[in-house]
Amino acid sequence: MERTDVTTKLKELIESETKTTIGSDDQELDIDSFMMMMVITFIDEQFNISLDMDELDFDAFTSLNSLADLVVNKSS
Amino acid sequence: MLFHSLQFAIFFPIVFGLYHVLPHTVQNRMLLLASYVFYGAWDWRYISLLLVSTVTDYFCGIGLSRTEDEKAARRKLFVFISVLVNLSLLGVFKYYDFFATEFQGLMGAFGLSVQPYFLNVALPIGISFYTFQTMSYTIDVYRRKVDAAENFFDFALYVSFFPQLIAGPIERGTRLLPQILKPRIINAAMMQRAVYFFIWGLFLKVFIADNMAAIVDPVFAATGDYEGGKVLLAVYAFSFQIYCDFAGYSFMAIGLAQSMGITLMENFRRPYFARNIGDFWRRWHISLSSWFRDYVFTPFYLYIEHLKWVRTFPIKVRHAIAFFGTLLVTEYMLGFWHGAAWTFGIFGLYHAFMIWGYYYVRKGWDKLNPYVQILLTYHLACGGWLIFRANSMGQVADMAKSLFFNFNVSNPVLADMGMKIIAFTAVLIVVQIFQDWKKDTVIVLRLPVFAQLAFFVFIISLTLVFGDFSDRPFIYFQF
Repeated sequence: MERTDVTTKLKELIESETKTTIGSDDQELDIDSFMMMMVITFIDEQFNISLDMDELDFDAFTSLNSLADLVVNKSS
Repeated sequence: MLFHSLQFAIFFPIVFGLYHVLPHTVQNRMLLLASYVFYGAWDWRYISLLLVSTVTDYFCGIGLSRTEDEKAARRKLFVFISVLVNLSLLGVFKYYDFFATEFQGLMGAFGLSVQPYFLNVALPIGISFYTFQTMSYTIDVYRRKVDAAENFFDFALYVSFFPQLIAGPIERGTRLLPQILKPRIINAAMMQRAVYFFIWGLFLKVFIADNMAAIVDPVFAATGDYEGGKVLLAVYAFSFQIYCDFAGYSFMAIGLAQSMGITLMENFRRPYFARNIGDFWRRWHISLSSWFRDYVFTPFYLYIEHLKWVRTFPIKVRHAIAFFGTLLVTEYMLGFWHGAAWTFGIFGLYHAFMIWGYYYVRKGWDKLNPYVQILLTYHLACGGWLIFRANSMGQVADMAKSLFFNFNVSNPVLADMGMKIIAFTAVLIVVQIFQDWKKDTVIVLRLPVFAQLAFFVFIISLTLVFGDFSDRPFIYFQF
């Protein structure tokens, strides 16, 4: 799974749902609980990755980079 | 010891003076002593509870840091001990008498007479805040997000740092501990911010919140037939009272900490400018709502989503079940955190349903004019404040009924109440319009020096002339 592909897809999702523009992959995301659900659902559907409690906390949702790290690490 | 009391006016200059002449390590010890004096001034006996929480989490943190094996069962045991001890303190001192009373009432309804043991003790001030702060530390050490504090006294200061000990912001080990451990540098800009936050917080509390209380209290103290117009204005007034009371405390805490080189987290970001109820919770009591998001919502969401029966559903359905189930539980707990009364739990559920509702209608909602969104969100929040402030659910029902069936706009009392609300909140509203427009909480400090001075003279004058210095405690002290 290509990291850039993951980042691009997540960026598209978050931008369309929050109607904001993400300037860089390090930019802090203002994600609430609902958006977190959208992202987890998206990761589950698109990448067939089911996250669980021991490997996730909200810090993973602070930027596109941290989200991409989560997805890539989990898939490897 | 209230921040706007004579006691504190003597206490703080001594602490501040000592702080600025002592070296770093001694500063920390002096701050620890000052924090215990500050807490003990209310009731020295409850220092023991603060110590129990501190000692427990200190040793849990040390235990976690010395357990290298990620899979070792004892790692979870340390988190369990921390959560058990802190929630037990909360359960016994905050909720026990309430549940004992409810149990007695329930048994009475079945014709059984029971006499449970009652503690009959005053709620230890700040217990909901420092127990949450210490638990988050241990969980963060467990998650390897923060290193365990090696020095007990430094950790004790993290738990008891007096500006935020009683009513937050609820800090995290990741933010506050490093600031305690490293020498702090204070520059002129930090002192300017410290003075601004303290004066602004004092203005919110003494000039607005306490004057709003004089409008709110008589309406909620009354019994019998309520008049819709008075109820509506009392709820508006309470929305300002609770915001100014709590945000006022937070701003003063942030200012006091900043004067000693410590930056506390933002706790309120103009919540009445929120465009939907989800947005409201990203702006209101941020340190608590983010605490629940990180330590309750996220793990509980993933727990539900992994339940066997939930996983039998298609992906989207099972995530929706996990989201709405978690939302209900989290918001109920968040509401109940505020106090031992069913109204607080229902306040939480009300918000859960409002958030839930928003996500159903959000495509249409988001197309509304932004000012309409703000106005609607404010009124939805006011619905929550009615539940929050009411003495019982019966009062909530009676007052809500009066809004629709007993609304008399010709009552001259309404004009007087309305004028007072406008007069006391006008400065706040104007300042926040500019803050929100520029997305800058300290926009006042960007003004030319003479304009800043004029602003400070103006709000200090209003506070001194019209403020209520009657030692009315902060609302959140009871939580």
